[in-house]
Amino acid sequence: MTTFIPDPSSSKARGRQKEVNKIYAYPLPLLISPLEPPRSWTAHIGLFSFRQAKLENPQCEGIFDLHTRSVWIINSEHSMILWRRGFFGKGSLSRSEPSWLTRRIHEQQQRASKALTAEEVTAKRRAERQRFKLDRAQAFAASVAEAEAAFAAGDTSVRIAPLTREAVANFAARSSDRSETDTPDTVVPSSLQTPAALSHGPVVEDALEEELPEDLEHLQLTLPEAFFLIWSLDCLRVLAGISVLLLINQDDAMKLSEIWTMFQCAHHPIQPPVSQPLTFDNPFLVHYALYHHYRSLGWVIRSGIKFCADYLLYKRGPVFHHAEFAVTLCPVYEDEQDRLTSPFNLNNATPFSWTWLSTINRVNTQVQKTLILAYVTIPSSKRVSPTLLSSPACLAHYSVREVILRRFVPARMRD
Amino acid sequence: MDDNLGQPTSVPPKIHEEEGNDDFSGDEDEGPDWTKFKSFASSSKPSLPKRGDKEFEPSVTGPTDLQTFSLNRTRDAMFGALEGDRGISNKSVSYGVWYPTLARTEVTQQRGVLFNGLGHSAPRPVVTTGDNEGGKAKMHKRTELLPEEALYLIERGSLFCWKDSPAIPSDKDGDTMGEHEIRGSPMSVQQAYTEMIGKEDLTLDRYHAYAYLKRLGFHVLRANPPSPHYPVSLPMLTASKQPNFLARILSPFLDLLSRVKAFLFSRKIDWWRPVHFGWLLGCAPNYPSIYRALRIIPSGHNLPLHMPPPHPESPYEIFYHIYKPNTPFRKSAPPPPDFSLVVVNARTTILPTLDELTRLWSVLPETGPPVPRQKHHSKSQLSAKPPKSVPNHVAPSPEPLRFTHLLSWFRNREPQDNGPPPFKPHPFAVLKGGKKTVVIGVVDSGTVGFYRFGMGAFEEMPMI
Repeated sequence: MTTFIPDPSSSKARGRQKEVNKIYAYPLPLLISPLEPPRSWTAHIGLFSFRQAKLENPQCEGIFDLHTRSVWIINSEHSMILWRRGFFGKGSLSRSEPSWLTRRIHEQQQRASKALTAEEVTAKRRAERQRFKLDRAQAFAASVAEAEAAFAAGDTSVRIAPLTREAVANFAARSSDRSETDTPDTVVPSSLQTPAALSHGPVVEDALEEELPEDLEHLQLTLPEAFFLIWSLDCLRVLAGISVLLLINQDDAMKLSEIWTMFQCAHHPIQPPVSQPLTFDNPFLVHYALYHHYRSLGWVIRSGIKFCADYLLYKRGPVFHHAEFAVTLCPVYEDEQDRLTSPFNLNNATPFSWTWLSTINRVNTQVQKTLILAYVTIPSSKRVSPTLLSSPACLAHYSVREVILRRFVPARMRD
Repeated sequence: MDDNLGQPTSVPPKIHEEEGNDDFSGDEDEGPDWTKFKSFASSSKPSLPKRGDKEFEPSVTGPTDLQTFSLNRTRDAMFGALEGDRGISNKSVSYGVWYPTLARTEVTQQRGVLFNGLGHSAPRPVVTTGDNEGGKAKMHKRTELLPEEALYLIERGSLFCWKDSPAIPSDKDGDTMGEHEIRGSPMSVQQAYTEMIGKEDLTLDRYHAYAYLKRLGFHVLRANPPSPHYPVSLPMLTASKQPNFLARILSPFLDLLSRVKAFLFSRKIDWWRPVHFGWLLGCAPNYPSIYRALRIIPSGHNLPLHMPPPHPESPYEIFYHIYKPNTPFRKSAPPPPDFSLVVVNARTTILPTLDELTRLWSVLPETGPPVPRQKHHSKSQLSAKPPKSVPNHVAPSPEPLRFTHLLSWFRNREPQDNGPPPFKPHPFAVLKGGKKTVVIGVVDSGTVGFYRFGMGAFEEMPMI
């Protein structure tokens, strides 16, 4: 279970790339596999048999939790399917892929495993970078001391020599000799070492069998992701969580109409949420329109909170390449009255200031992403009847428009 | 790190191969390089450290001798460069007269290549007094400057401008040198600012944007001609008023047409089961067909916007047309602009709303897919430069159908086939370029930042 992003320049990395391509080969949880070649002559002509492929639907199951506004996938097999085919959801105890159990196993085994999870790779890289920075600071201090000494001796044309890679490498070699034993192995946090795991040999296998920890992690889907899987692909069943059972009486899997209503009610600020009328500017509807639009075009959408945006768009997935676009959702009310009387305070409903735009644009430029303002128009209740809200048919009245924002630097655009 | 310590050049460092290269802005934000100004200094100064890393980091105990020494050395270089006398040659100065009532500067003596991109000729009635009794008003063509153009030249030191006053006879027959002696001293820069800012829609913000672009070498013309004699670039003439008029008449019919088309050609969606997997699998069993079946959310800028039109006093109107420095430019018939600029104040205006943006884009032509950057600036290639902003249709129709858009991309690509091989643009570059671009210049107390708002068309280039 590796999510290591390989550097495409080495042959080992090419092998890894192939492995990644194989694991993440399917863009959706549904598998389309061709049937066996037809044998009867009618099938060859194609007269009677229409089916040329079969569809494998992994009927995944989830639990809807009202307070966190999410759907939890407890079964680890289903979690893996939903993550590997389409990058849906996020592990509740991990950065993205649910890898908490793997990391715990690595900690207990206390040996450098070949297949490192993303968090472990990051921790290792951060430790290396910290070491490099220390070495660089020492090399710089040494060159400064040299220049100062030369100046004090009377040489007025001296300048602090610019730092070269060799100088830093020298310091790195020197410091690694000195502090080999001191450097902490960050792959294994020492606080979690148990005495039983430190021994070797056959005791290790016993330790594995005894101490395989229970997987406390679940995959968490946001409401738009869950609704996409339920409604468009029909590959997820949702059971009502405890918080929902207090409001509706439901023993079996929730029906689609109930899911539709409850997902909207999850955003109602007043308790009990079911008593409030449904409106067009419900955050679930607005975000779902955007989510569905980009999913239907083949993009993988994930949260963009790291970069001051609402969503990030990946071409194939986060394991292949960094996100290309950062999308900020700007809801546009067709009727100004709707905005003034709205119970929700939708973010960016009024155009924001230039300083804020400049800020988010600069943040995203630093990480080489293009900022997109996605305007989602919210139909006015005077033009479209609110009775449509009881079914997803109201989605046909929203519209999504993109505005691409880039800086214009005249000094560079002269030719 | 070491590579940047070479001589500063105008070639930007390569970070990305993409168009615009607007990611790296570090070079622009630093201060000027005082080594360039060495020629102004009267006496020889010690050599300056080249542009690059910081000289030193401040130490805890305070500045050391070496640090103080380097700092003083750099400061002295700056002061030395500023001390030198700055002057212009007598032979390169032009002369003009500012008429406050007309809000124009008449150029009496024009010198230099600057006027290739500045000024326009306007006929004015001139009363000739002379031998005839009773002066006759005759139309006399003369070069005139808009307030921003005149102000830019005065600030630059290329124009001496006098304010027109009724006491001085405006006699054109006399010797120009002698006349100027009578008129008194020319306007100072301060007086020029006071006189010219505020006239003819010129605000201080717009002047800042104008002067910044002119200093970089761009040609900047007004989008809306302030007078009938001002040159207007060609496509704007036909497209200025017509779309609104045509759109108003044809929009109900076009709406009906699109609804009929949608009814006939689109399938009936069951809103509780939007994708029928059984039916799909029979016809075309693959992922692209599933994705196509999922595209049910309306998207695109061609959809009707059910919103009230923008406020009539909205500041979002195209004010300037910008041409790149190397375009062959004829003042009387300027080519279609490379960029269209709107200038707003950063603190008092907010971002444009969707309807304001739509209105800005409605007068702009569509740009085709991005072309690769020209590596060599030879003359032959400049004249045959693939026109990025050539309009594909003179009067943009309100709802261009998708296949005409594709056809127009085909037409735009034809001239490229003769020379280099047909270029297939990267899908990301196409998505980032967008279909139409408007540049908005945001001025905050003299600092101008420019943003390109592109009309995105993600639905035309799906990933799967």
